[in-house]
Amino acid sequence: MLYNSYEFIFVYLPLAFAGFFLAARLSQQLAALWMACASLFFYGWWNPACVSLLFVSILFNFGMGCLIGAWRRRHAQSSRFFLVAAITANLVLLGYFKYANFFIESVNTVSEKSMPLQDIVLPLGISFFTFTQIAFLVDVYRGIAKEFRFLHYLLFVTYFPHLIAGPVLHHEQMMPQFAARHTYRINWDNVAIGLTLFAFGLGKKVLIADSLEPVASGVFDAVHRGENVMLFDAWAGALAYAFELYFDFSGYSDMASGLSFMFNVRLPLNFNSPYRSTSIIDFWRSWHMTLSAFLRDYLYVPLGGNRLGKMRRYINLMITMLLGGLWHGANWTFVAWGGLHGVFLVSNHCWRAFTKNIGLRTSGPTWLRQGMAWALTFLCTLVAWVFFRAQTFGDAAVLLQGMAGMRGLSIGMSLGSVAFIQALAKSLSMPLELLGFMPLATGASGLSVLETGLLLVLAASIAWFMPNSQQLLGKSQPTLDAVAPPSPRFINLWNATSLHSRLAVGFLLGCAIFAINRHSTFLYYQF
Amino acid sequence: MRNYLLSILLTALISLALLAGINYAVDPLNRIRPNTSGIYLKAQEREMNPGIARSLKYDTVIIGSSMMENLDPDYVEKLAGWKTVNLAVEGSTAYEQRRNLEVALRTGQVKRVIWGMDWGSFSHPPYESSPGPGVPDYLYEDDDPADYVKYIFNISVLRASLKRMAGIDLVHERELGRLHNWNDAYRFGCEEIEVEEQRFRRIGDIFQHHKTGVYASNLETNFMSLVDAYPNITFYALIPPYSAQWLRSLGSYNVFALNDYLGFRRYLATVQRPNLQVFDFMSDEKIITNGSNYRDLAHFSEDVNEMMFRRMYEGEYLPVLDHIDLVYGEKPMRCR
Repeated sequence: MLYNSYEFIFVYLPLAFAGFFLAARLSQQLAALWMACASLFFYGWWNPACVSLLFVSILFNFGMGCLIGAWRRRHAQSSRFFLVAAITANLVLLGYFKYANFFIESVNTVSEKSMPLQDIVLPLGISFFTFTQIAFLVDVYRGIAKEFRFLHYLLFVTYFPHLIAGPVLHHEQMMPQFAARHTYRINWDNVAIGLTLFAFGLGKKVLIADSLEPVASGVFDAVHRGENVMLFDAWAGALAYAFELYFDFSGYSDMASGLSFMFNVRLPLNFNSPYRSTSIIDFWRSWHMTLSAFLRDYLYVPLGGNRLGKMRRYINLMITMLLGGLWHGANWTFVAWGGLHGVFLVSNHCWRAFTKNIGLRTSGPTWLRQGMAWALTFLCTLVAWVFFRAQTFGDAAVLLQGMAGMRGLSIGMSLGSVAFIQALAKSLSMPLELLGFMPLATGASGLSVLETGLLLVLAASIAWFMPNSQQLLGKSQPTLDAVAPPSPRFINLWNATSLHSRLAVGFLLGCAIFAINRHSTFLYYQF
Repeated sequence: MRNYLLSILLTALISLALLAGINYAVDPLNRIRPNTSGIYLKAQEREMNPGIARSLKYDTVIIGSSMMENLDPDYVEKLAGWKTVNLAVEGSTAYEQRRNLEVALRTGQVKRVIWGMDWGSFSHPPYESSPGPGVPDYLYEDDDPADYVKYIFNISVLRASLKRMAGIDLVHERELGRLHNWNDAYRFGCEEIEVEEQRFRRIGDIFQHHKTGVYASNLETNFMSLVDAYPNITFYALIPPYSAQWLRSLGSYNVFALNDYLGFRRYLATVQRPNLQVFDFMSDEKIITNGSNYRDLAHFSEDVNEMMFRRMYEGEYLPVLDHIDLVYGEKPMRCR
């Protein structure tokens, strides 16, 4: 079931909410059971067969967790063996469902054989519930996780606000909240703030991300069909995808946090205005923060982190980012995306050390330094997103060439030729629609050049200049982690007592629910 | 905070009602009421066609893919006296074409169907739409109340309503016949054919979205079922003339697709029904080797569409099985 669906908003959510707090009047355990069952129903809505896989995974990991916990003090060696065995089993399961066909395709490519691909249905959220449970096992081994009530563990893994797309949770963050009495008492303040955050998230998802999706798809799909992609189209496609991904995923995280807060449970913060980062290091501290923390705590640090010298630190960073890339999808382009970010991160650390040594870090006006750092950071993430979205390396190369102006500026034009100047002069007297500025982006989306431009400007303005959802809600803090306050001019942009805030949030919620239903205009550009 | 909660819920409800009210009142795609003003909102064919099919008076329907978009209903009426509507859909599969045609057939006024039998439309599983969102279902069925809800509570429809209210992209009924005619938007000739040939060379794998071995089930599901269900309607099936270079390219880059295409033609050549007439224009060497007819490997000019209808009306180009195996792949394109 999706958050952005009528069945979720008008049927599932009210029933889950009412059932939880009514059951809580009788017993906390009953309420927890209700929520776990409701979450399994939420998960099974997509494919009921996958519920059994999830349930088996939960039973196995809970059992192994108990075993590791019991043996931890008596016999550390055995405990370690159980930990390794359990993690291996989890990774084998994940590997089979997510990477089996990727492996076969790679072997086929290298060996020029044609092993048949397997007919495997990827269970929804398998990466998230697998990582959540691996973290639990490691925490038990480390002695951090100590609570072993099965019902709470079941709820911890299946809790519907995070089950399908995160955030990645830690046992120690959630168990105290599931055990707390106040969680089981309805709190209208939290419901109101949670609903507001849900409205922000739904708006980001259905009003912005879903509007950008056909623009990005139009360009990337056309490249894959072998069509030429020129300067404006290439930039429109890359920018549209960068903003679509941000508004989609951060919108989802806002919805998850908002829903959870309605049930008095705070989830960890997952996005903190990443496109405002002035370095790649900062970017990874504000983009998909719970995954970054997971990779840091359970991969980078066990590899040795920064404890074994500079060179080893950089190698560890590269390994972490390459595997992080692979986690995002079974394709070498995802690995390349992770590798690119690894290179960016290593370069960033080297540059920091170098500029610190020669005293360059504070020279020049701050606005210029910050501005250049921001522009370079955004450009690097944009280039990396091209690999993330492209279906093949060839597609990514074509799009990057297009962005560099190497594949023409507009229809019939090529940079560097006299014909370009003549064609440009001719173009300026033509109606905007005929300029051929963005034939792929506009052709696939059905939007005009003006609409596409305005949409991109709106998305960029919100991502770059506006406070994020958590900053807007200020002291209410619906997530576990606090965020820095917004700049003074935005401090009272949202205020529960003001009429304009109520009207704006209500109107946003109404528009977002209305916008769930849309028909993406289809223009098969080359017939 | 309860007060805040109530006020945002109330505002959300009022906003929803207001936006839905606009869609209901404007009805930009003529889903709720037939169009009586004669003014239509220009949109993609998948969105426009159902409203047009329910609103206009006609006895003949043109259906097919981009290959049939250039057949002007006025030309048909002038030549044959048939009152015609063109419901061809660019890049459509046969399933999408059937969905469009069914809306027209349910009006009870159709006597003839002229169907462009584009192999590209039939080389898909029988219920598959083209890559992309496909036809918006809520516009296509007549009696499902849930479809009205999906139509009224819909941001794409709201965008159409606002355009209609602002007077943007409106067309008069008399312009509908040529609204999606692309003849004047492209150049024709061997140079244009070569551009697409180069694209094929670059990507190496053509017709990757198409599936071989499914044309028979597709034809039975989406075409023959209608021919049999409407015995009083005459179906004219026109096999369009792709260029000889198209055949050569198909042979070079995707020989399975070439064999599938020949099987498709053979199937149509052998099928017989009292209310069905099949015309195979691919068997005319003069058309398919004339480079000036084509804007790419397969798409031909409006002149060819007119010639197809003229010959069809005169009863020429009935399929002969012997012709099908003459691939004409060795014949060079004539370029001027």
